[in-house]
Amino acid sequence: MTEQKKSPTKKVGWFCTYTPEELIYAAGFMPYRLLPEQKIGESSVEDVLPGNICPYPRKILSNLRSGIYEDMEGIVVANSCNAMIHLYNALKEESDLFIYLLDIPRRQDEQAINYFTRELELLAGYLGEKGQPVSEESLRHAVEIYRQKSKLIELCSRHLGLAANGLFPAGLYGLALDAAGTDPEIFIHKMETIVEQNEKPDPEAGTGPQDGNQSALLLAGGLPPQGLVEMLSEQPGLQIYPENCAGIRYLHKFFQVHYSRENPSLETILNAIARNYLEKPPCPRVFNSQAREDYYRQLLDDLQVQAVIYHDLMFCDMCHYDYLMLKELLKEKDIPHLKVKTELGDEDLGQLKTRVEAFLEILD
Amino acid sequence: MNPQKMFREKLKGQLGRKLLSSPATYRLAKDIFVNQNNFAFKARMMMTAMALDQAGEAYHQSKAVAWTSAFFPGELVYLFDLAPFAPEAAAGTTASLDLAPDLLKHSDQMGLSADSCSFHRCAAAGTDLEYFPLPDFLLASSHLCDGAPRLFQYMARRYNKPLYLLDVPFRQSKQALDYVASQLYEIAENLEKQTGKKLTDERIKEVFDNSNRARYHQLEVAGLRQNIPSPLNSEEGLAYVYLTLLGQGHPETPEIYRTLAEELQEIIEDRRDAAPEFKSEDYRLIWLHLRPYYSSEMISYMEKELRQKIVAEEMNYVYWPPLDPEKPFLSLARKVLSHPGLGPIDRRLETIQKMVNDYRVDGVIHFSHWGCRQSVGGTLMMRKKMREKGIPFLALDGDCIDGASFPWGQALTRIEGFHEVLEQLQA
Repeated sequence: MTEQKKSPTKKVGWFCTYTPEELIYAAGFMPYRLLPEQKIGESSVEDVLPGNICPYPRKILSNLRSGIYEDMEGIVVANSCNAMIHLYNALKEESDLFIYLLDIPRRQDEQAINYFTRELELLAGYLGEKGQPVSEESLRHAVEIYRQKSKLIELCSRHLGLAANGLFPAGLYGLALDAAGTDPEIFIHKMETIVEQNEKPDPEAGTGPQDGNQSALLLAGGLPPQGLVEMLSEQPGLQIYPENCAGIRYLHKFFQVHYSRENPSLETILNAIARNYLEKPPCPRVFNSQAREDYYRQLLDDLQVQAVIYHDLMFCDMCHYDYLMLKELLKEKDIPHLKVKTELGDEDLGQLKTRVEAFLEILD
Repeated sequence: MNPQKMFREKLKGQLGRKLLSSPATYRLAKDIFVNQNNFAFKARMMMTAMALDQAGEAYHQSKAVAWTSAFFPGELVYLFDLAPFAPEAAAGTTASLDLAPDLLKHSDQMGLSADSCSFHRCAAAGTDLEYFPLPDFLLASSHLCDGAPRLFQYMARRYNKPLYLLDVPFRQSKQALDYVASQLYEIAENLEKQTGKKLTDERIKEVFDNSNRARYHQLEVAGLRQNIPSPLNSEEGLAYVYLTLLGQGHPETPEIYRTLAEELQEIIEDRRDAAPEFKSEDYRLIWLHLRPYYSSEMISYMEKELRQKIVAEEMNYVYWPPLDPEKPFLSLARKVLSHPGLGPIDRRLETIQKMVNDYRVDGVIHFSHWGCRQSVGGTLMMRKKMREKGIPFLALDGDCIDGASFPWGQALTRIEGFHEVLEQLQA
């Protein structure tokens, strides 16, 4: 078992799952995912971010203005969409934290991996100046920590049925939130304890619901509001699979960075990290719609999905167009779905609940 | 009956779709719009003829048709002698022909969110309803827009045709340049295979020469518009955005800009009859983003009633260096990466500031097209920065395609309020 250690006190916030946490960790910071669910700031952002861009960066800026994140030293903003660039502009203008903009390719080929490697070199240099220098040794150590974390997530999320055990609020979603917001070594310790206290999983077990009485529901689309996840988690007989970047796509990020040489150079490790991240299950932003379609097909089949709730996050183009593709697949597979729209607030939950409950009756 | 009005009415009827997709329609339209020569400028007439020829050629399918997104480098299309078709520009045309409301309704039925860009909603519906010429290839770029690559992925899937996507980073480093250049090279290789046309040095020289000469005369036009009063009115100036979208590398584009420069010079030197708005102005403005395409009421009111003239448009700004035929892909990559709207807002702000100085304007208007995340998202920051520099700035909420969502009355109040500010400052 890993020795429990004291968490690094200085956090570096991040947003997009293509941001390499290992690199932040190797620079002596605790990577901390900034998600709108964690805390709710009351500060207005109408002076810099208009109401018709994605509510995710708007909520984060509100939280930051309200000062509710503790021990935050800096933020790595990924160039993942227009809204994030606008958040970067706003933070660069007003925040006392260090703010870094990371370029993330949309392609997955060798050219993109090489470009991303160079981007990671720049990030390593920048973070090294703000924290501790990123050396081969510190990065190898960080990669190893995240490799362990990934293995435990794999073990638990795929085979233990954590949602049914109630170990994490909101099941897999809760596990993903915990994994992205906790010091990795503390998280590993926690997961090892859970594994020890539970029955050994059957490595041959399938990935769908372990309990035959449960129905698999895929919650696809953009980041969902906390209220929607909680509402679904309260529904009896449902196993929820959140297909978004705070759910399955984070859990299956697989920090399995491979490099062949015994004493790899920093560049070799960064190249391996770049490859690992760009080749992970594609998000709607990636320029590979076939891979995205294949990924959806695999999820629908492997998880034996019986119904889908699609969260069409307001003002998110990625979500809007991803829906057109998924809708066709669901029609082909004769899987019912419900599309809901929110701005990540819990204001419309009453009406949403009525719609969701009516929809779920079809699964009975 | 006004022939232009009659033409619009015909397109709105039952036969609308059939008419739109018939090459004969474009010959007829050229007859009605061009040959009657109701244009204030010969250059505008030449551009309209070119646009109608391009549309007719795409519908005729005598050449391979390439659908392109707004900021994809057009030179690549002409290098392979493809017939370009820009679905986003076509969406603007549907709005001007009053076909957009039905298309927007259809996009809702398709399940595309109503808060998406209405250019894209119209283009998606037009694709689904097969309003457009069938594509042989689709070419799209990630800058500056998140929606366009996704829209083009939908379109390519709908027609099962090859899609070549250009991923544009925000940096202007050597690595970014190499990354974009290698993608352009790969796209060219694919187009060679698909079309069976070998890319030759002569062809590169020819198309790049077209592009560079167009750039030269476009700069000439820009310089003449810096004159006080500016010799081009608002409506005319905004129309040349078409050449930015579909004219770069086209053989006729240099001559259109050259002709326009010549005509503007004649107005400045008082050698040409022109309506009063060409020869006078009270307030000089820069227009950011695009215009409403369903109506000219707003632009006309600003110019005729308030005597505000748009003297420069962000979309007509020459931001790129000349192309080098010796290094075609690096050169095109440099053009792509030098777009001021790419990445953090600083470059866009610097460009606007330079335009403010060069054109000696009284204010800046940003037409905040509802669904545009890239442009609208930065409006408040731009307003703050402009105000810090004492430059009047109006963020005018609206939609370029969907007139029903933003009634004219609301815009009028904002424009008049802005006018009062300009008046006070001038007093």
